[in-house]
Amino acid sequence: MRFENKSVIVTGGGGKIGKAYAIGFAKEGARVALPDIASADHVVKAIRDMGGTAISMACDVSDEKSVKSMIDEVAKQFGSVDVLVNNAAYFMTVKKSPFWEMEVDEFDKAMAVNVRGSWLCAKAAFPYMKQQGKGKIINISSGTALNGGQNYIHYVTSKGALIAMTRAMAKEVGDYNICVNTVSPGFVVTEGRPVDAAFNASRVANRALKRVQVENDLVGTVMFLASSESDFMTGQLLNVDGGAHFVG
Amino acid sequence: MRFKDKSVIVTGGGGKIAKAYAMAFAKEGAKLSLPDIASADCIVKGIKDMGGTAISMACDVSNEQSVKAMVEETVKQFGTVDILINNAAYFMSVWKGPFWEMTVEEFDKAMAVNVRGSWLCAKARRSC
Repeated sequence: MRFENKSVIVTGGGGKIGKAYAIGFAKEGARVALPDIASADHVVKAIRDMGGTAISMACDVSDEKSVKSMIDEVAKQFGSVDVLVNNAAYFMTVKKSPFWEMEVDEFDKAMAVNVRGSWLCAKAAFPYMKQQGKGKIINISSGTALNGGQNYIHYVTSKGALIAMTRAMAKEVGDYNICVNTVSPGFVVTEGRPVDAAFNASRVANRALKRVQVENDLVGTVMFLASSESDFMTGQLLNVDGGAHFVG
Repeated sequence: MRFKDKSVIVTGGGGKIAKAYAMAFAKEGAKLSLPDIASADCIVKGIKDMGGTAISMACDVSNEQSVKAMVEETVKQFGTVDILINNAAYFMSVWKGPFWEMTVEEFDKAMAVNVRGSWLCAKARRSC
């Protein structure tokens, strides 16, 4: 029970990957907060049904007031903010197009949610982590930043930005015993997600470990970065994609 | 003269690094377009004084209309755009401080100029 009584925030907690993280943490004793613009009640219920502790709240990570309110509520209910997983992202409904046909509003939306949102959550969590004398922030990037994914330049750029953001944040909060690291997932076929068979096959073929990537493949790495086992590791990028890319 | 008659845009063209880029391209025959929010007239003069070709114009790379007008003006004057150097950046006057003390306005400004601006210039270039 590595996270007994630890307070863990998983933004975008109502999504399938967010749920996988949340359940993983809950199984190891964490109290989990699941802010999302959509409902995360089903994840809260699943955690409570297994005897765990979870709350959810409406939160728009691109909005400073919404984020501050969310973090303050978590601290109020759980007494601390130990781990922040910046999982919330504008992705599933992104508009895809060549970069020269993309609209500014669409571009800005990805930046606001994915980049500004991750910064705002870290900004709001910092005072609590500083006071606690310890904290863990995990920023979720994407393999698309490594391979230059086509036709959604805003998403790819935003995920690349998080890799840089992690490095700067790590340097700024090291004095407070707060670790900041990035995980870049490969193409994840979440449960029930419709996927083009040929596209998925090409992804699998490109990996050293030739199978489909699922949400549970990410949980161990995220939990490692949230645990005391990674207390001397910060500013790093861990790539989890079955060996499609090699970083470092 | 590797860049003879090539049309080169260097955004943020009024700055010192851009000047270095611009002079080097001009020495190799390029026609230079130097958009900036500040004046790049001194660089234009420096290039013309050595017999080269250069223009400058006010341009806010974070603004789509401004960027589009800049690229169109370059094409109008030089016939095409062969090279785009996305050099313009919000840097010299950035607010520096811990990330937890930064304001949203400051954060957004860096994103708008450095990220959106580079994309907008590439977008406009691709469309011409």
